[in-house]
Order: sequence, then structure tokens, then C-alpha cells
Amino acid sequence: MASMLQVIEGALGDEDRRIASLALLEDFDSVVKRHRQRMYRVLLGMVRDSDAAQTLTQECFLKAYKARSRYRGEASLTTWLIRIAINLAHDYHRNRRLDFWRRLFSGGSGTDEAAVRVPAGGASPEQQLLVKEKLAAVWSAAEKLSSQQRTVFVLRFVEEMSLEEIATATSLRPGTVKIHLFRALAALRKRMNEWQESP
Amino acid sequence: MKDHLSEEQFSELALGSAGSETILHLEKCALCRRQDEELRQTLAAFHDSIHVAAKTYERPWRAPAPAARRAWVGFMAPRWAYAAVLAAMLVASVVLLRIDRRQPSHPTLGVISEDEILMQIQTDVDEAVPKALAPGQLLLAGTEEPPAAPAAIKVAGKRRNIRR
Repeated sequence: MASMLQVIEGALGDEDRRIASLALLEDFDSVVKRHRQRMYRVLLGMVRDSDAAQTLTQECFLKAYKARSRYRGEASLTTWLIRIAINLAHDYHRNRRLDFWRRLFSGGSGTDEAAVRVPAGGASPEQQLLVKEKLAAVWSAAEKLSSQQRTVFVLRFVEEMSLEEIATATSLRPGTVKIHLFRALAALRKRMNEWQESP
Repeated sequence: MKDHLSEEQFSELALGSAGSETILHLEKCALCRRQDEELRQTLAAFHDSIHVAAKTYERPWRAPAPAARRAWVGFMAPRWAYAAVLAAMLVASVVLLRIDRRQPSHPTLGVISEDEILMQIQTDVDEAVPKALAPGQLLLAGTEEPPAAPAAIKVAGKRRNIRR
């Protein structure tokens, strides 16, 4: 169910939305409250590590807070924050040395159990196990994707953003976004087939 | 049914942009329908797992401290600043060391030539002897020429004695 703020924002024109975003930045606490979980979801989907995602979420808001005077309202506030989050996640992946130590201390698998949470929803333990295995296969497929493909995949299937919104957030063309999504889905289906064929 | 949906068509279905032909095929083909359902369930599980995990995320946000408090911390932060200060200190110490080496270990007086020493002695003696020989001069009073200062000549020849 959409909140009252979302309803009001939907009714606003571009210019009004821009002014509203600028005004909203004045009260940064409310910006954080409103976007915290979303940024965390994007970052968790991209880095697959709940601790790193929490740290990066804080970092994302810190960067936004420091750069808030430079925000001109050309893109929506959400898009602007997602751009910062994407850059942070890319930097995180680029940091090979950190990745090495993270893998070393996590036993080499790179799997974060905290990130793979199965919603209970009255499912039996067998069903939960099955879903968990599926999720592990998704994460495994996602890990093999390129950074851009993973970004696009998360924005589409976690945040349910449209191709145009993803294109704006990632500075890609909608056609390129679609190609990345096709490749990501093909990789996922391949991994799912392997998982089903495995004993 | 021999032909099944391609990867691209499955992707179109997942993105919700499949054509009518694809949807018609799906209605007829159980295998493709099952695969499509499998993909949708997997994507939904992925979506839900992240949303569930995010609901537990409640780390409080604190705005950074005011700029005045953080100003000097910000100044300290760049690593190149530390490196520059260290390099400057190193250069300064090397320069000081070299300057120190150029200077002799014991301070000495300026080099004075032997003639200058003799001239100095001569002057000293000239000033000192007349007073010392004042009684003798009195004795010689009445002679036309005052006696030459023999002591001065002797002193020039016997520098060591005078010095002592």
C-alpha cells in the first residue's frame, strides 16, 4: 500500500517533485528513514554480505549528506541515492584485497547466511530447505555476473524498477539494460538447470 | 511439441514484455510453462529473501559532527600530507648534517700571517717599552738623539721570548 507521501509525489509534476526533493534534503533524518531499507536491499543484493551492506548503507547516507548541497534535483532523490549506492558497491567489488581477506575469514565460500533468509510463511521445513537451496543457486549465479549485470538484475527483481528507471540510475541506455537482464536471466536459468540435474 | 521457448522468450516472460505468440505457446506447452513457473518462483524467493533481511536492518543514523569539530581531523586525514611532512623533515635533517660537516670541529681564529703577528708585537712593544724605560730615558736626557728602541728589534728576532 502506497504511503501518503508516495501518493502526493505521484501527483506532483517534475518541477514540483524537484522542489519537494530539495526541501526533503533539508530534513535529512527523514530522508534516511524513508530510504534506509531500500538502500540496504540494493546493497545487500549487490554485495551479498549483510555486514558490508550495513556499512555501505551508512556510507551511502554519509556521502549523500556531505554532497547534499550539490544535489540539484535533476534526478529523483531515490535515483540519486541509488547511484551513490551503486558506486559504493562497485568500489567494494573493485577492492580485491578486501575481497581476499573476506573470503579467507568466511571459509572461502563467500556465502553469507544472513543474506539468504527464507521467509517462513507457514512453509514446511522441507519446503524451506528447497527454497534455501534455490536461493543459494540464485546467489551463485548472481556472483558470476558482471558488476553491471548484477546491478541491473537487483534493481529489476528486488526493487522492481522499470527499465527506464534502471537506465536513469545506471546511466545506461534502456536497450543495454535489457541486454544485461537477458544475460543475467540466462545465467540464472543455466544455474537452476545445473542445480536440478545435480544429485 | 518439438519447439520450445528460447532463452530470450523466457527472459521476455520474466520481464513481463512477452509477445502474444510466446504467451500462446506457454498455454499449450506444459514443459515451458513449468520452466517459466520455476523461474518466477526463484525470482520471487530472491526478492522476498532480501526484503525479509532488510526488515531487520535498523541501524540508527547519526549525522556527522559539525564541520568545526571535524576540521582538523579532515586536515590530518590525507596520507600524502604525512608523507610530505616526513620528506621535508628528512631533507632538512640531511641539509643540516651537511652544513655541520663543512664546519671544523673546533673553532679557530682567523689565519694571521707571520708578518702581521710581528707587526702586532712591534706595536705592543712600542707602546709598552717607553713606559718601562721611562727612568732610563730620564738618564739619557740631554743627548740629542733619543736612543733607538733596541728592545723592539730584539723582540722581533726573539718572538718566542716575548710571547712568553
